[in-house]
Formats: sequence, C-alpha cells, structure tokens
Amino acid sequence: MKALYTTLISLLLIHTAAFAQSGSSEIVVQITSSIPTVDVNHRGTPVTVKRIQDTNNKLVDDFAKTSRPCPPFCVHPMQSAPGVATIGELDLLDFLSKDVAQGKGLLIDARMPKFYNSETIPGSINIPFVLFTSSAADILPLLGALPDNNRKWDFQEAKTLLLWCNGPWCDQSPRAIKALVKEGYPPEKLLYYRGGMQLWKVFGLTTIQPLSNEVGG
Amino acid sequence: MASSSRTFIVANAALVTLIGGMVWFLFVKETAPVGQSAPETKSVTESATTPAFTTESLSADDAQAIEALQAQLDEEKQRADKARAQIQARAQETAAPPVAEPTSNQLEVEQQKQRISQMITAQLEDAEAENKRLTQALAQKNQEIVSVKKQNSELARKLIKLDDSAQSLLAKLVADGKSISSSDQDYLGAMQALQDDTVSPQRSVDLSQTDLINRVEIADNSDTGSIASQLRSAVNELMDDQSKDKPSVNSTKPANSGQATSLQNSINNLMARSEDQKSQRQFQADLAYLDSLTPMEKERLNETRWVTVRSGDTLYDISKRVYNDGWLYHKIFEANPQILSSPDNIKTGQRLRVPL
Repeated sequence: MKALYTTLISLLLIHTAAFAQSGSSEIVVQITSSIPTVDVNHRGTPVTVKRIQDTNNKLVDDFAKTSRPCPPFCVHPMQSAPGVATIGELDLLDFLSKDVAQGKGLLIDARMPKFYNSETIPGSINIPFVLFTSSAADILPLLGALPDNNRKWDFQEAKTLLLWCNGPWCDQSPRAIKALVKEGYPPEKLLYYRGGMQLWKVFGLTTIQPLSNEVGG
Repeated sequence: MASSSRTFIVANAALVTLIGGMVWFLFVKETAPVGQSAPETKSVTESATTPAFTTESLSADDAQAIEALQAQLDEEKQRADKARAQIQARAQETAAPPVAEPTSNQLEVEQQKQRISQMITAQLEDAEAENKRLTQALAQKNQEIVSVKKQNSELARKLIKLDDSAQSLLAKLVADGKSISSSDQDYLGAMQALQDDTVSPQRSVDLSQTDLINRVEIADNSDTGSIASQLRSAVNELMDDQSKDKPSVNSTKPANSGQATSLQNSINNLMARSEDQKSQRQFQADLAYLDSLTPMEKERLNETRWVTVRSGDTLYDISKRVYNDGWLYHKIFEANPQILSSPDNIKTGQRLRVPL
C-alpha cells in the first residue's frame, strides 16, 4: 500500500514538473535559454522585461534606419573611454537586478529628455549628457561624489554608472562618459551600453513610455 | 491374629488411598479448570468406593472399622461436593473467558492502550511545536517581504528625486544659453536637423495595421494583393450586372450563368498562378471572402430581378413566363407588398420584383 502511494505521488510530481516545463516554454522567444523574462523596477513600478513574442515582428519606425549622416552620427568604437567597460543587454539586466536594486548602481539614459519621455529602457533615470559636460559640479554630488579639499572629488562613495543612449551611432552617452572620466570618476565605476535603444529594440525587449505611463515593445 | 493384621494392612491401605485421593483432589485440583474437575473427582470417589477385596473375608472389627471409614469417606465426599459447588459458583460469578489465562491478557491490552495514548499525546505535542515554529517562520518571512518592499519603494523615491534634480539642473543649464559647450550645441543642432522619428518617435503601436503593412511590404512584390483585388472586382462586377435594369426576364435559366462561368474561369486561372504558400494562404482567405459573398449575392439577386407587367398580363401569366409554372404567382405577390395589394390588382407597366 505504501509503495502504491509512493508511486502515485512521484508520478504526480513528475507530471507537475513536466507541466511546469511546458508552462515556461509558452514564452517562445526567451531572453536566454535559462532566462525567459526578468523582473525589474521602474520608478517604483514592477516591470517584467521580456521580448516581443511575435516571431514576424519587425522594426518599422526610425530605429530601422541604417544611414544617418556621419559626421556626427558615426559608427562608434567599442570603447568609449580608457578603462570603461562596454557591456551588453544581459549585463544590463544583471546590473538592474543587482547593483541598481541594492542602491549601489544607476542605469542612466543620457539622452535629452524628449527621448526619455518618449521611450526608455526600464529602470533608467534621465540625466542628459550635457549635465556631465557642462554642469559636472552640480550633478556629481547627486551621484555620491564628495568634494575634497583640493577642489577635486572623492569618489569612494560614488555609485557605479551604466550609461546608454540611442545606439552605436549616438554620441550622447560617449560624451557623458568622457566628461566623467575627465572629472576623475573612476573608470571601473563606469559602464557603457553601446547598443542603446537601437539594440534594445532590435531584440524586441520591453520599453517604457513614461509620458503615457505605458509599457511598449 | 493373621486375619486382623491382614485386615489392618488392608484398612490402612484403603485409608492411605482415600487420604491421598482427598489430598490430591483438594490441593492439586484447585488450580485445574473447573470444568475438568467434575469427572476426575468422580473417578477418585469411584475408585475409593470399589475396593479390590470383598466384604465376606472381613471380621466384625474390620467391618466396623471399614464402616467408620466409609462414614468418614462419605463426609469427605460431601465436603468435597460442597467445595466444588462453591468453586463453580465463584467461577460463574467472575465469568472467566474460555482462554487459558484471561487475566494476564487483559493486563497486556490495558498496558498497550496506555502506551498508544502516550504515543499519541507525544505526537500531538510535537505537531503543536512544529506548528508554532512554522507560524513564527511565516511571520518572519512576511516581515522580510514587507521590509524588502519598503526598501524598494525607498530606492524608487531616491531615484525619482535624482531624476527630478537632473531635470531642474538641465532647465537651469538651458536657461543660461552660454553654459552648454559649443561642441554640444552643434551636436544638438545636428540631431534636430536629422528630422527623424527618434526625436519624437512614432510608436509602432500608433501605426495602423494598413500603415504597418504598407511600410513593411512595399518592397514585397507578391501577387497575392492583386489576386485578392482581382477576385473582388470579379465578384463586384457580377453583382453590379444583376443590379442593372433588365426590363424583362424571359428565360428561367439563372441569368448569371454566363458571369458565373467567367468567374469560375478567373478563379481557376488565379489558382493556377498562385504557387508559393504565402499566396496560397492569401488566396484561401480570398476564397473564403468570396464564399461569404455568395449568400449576400443571392440576396441581392433575389431583390434585383425585375419584370414589367405587359398589357393583359395576370400574375399567373407572369409567373408562367418567369417560373414556367403559373401556380407560383404567389411568390411574386409576396415579393411586392408595397406595389400589390391583392394578386388581382396589377397594372400594365408596373415593375415587379421577381425572386428566384
């Protein structure tokens, strides 16, 4: 009798496990084979970052353009500034889940506000690049930098910053990063998501439209 | 005297046997089951009353002795009977079970019951302790969740505050026109000049389905679009023909047989042309559309066949002409309620609907 019960229960568990597997494969387009979706926070609202599931979906807006005038919208190098790591989507999601969630990091949309208000990556705050290039003294304290005696900065308590802009042809975040390095921000506390909104949309990843408080993508 | 010594020995033997029997009965048999004791006592007394010698060889003295002994024996027998009766009575009172040792079994059962109840109590206590522990753990988990939520909202507040500070700093920067570096100003100007949707991106959700298709499929040279439109125009043609004025309908053959054939031909041609799967799918969809038209088409045909009343016509005549059966005139009557108040009331020149 006991053996019968054991068999029945183990069959039930296997069955449930099998269904659990098929449940997660309802997401046909996962982020990685082990990550179907990622839960993050955007300005206090929980957001599930996932990919567009329509396998026929295409970019139809102007992020599908290939040839903007260069200069100034040129092909940017992989490295934005010496010592600053260039990272990808998965690292960005990891950064959101860990550094940002723990209050140790900031995901910065370095574009002008009209871009941020139109569409942005979940979890981002907007610090337009001109603040780094032309108003560093005012913005650095907000990032954890403390003024020290020699009219320089103490960046010990400064947060790790992950900056991005419209895409590998966009110069806004590289300008911001170069300015930060010039001010003495430790390069190991700076990260460059070169792909930007362009690559984020190429993967069909979830975006936020703050103005309408809508989630798109 | 030899006979008296012999008698004496015999009497002694008898007495010893008697006493032995009585001892055996009273002491040994007490512990034996009552039920079994009855026949055995019987045998003892029997053997006591059947001596191995006859009374003829005995003297008077001996006889007297034997008589005395006999009396004694009777007495003993009576006493034994009484004792037996007492035992039996006592046995009946206690109603002992017909098992070898009932008392010790009962004890065991009682002991077992006690042991079980102790076990159950112990288990209950364990379960309660576990319950308490789990409740505490749950409360702790809930607290953890609440504190994490608090942390998250605290963090969100900080981030929003930072964003707002950045916005006000930007406003200050922009207000002071000279503050933005010329390099940056040039770049901002170039972005403005770009005039692309990245400035205020048109969200793809805002584009209508048609726009999307147009924007995506423009380069796509598929024939399916034209197949669909060809089918539709063919059907529309058919329907238009029916609605045109046909003053007299002379034959009862379906007037659209010609068009139906041409339509069928078009369909066959198009089917031959559509080879790849995509056009097939589109084509099936168009066929379905066509199918959905047929009842509608029939309805239109029903409504749009007309006949003009000739001079001298009765409904019967018209019906005969149109349906080959005059007795179907009521169909024409029912199809024209506004015109005909009664089947007889028809006038020359009236245009009547003639349903199929």
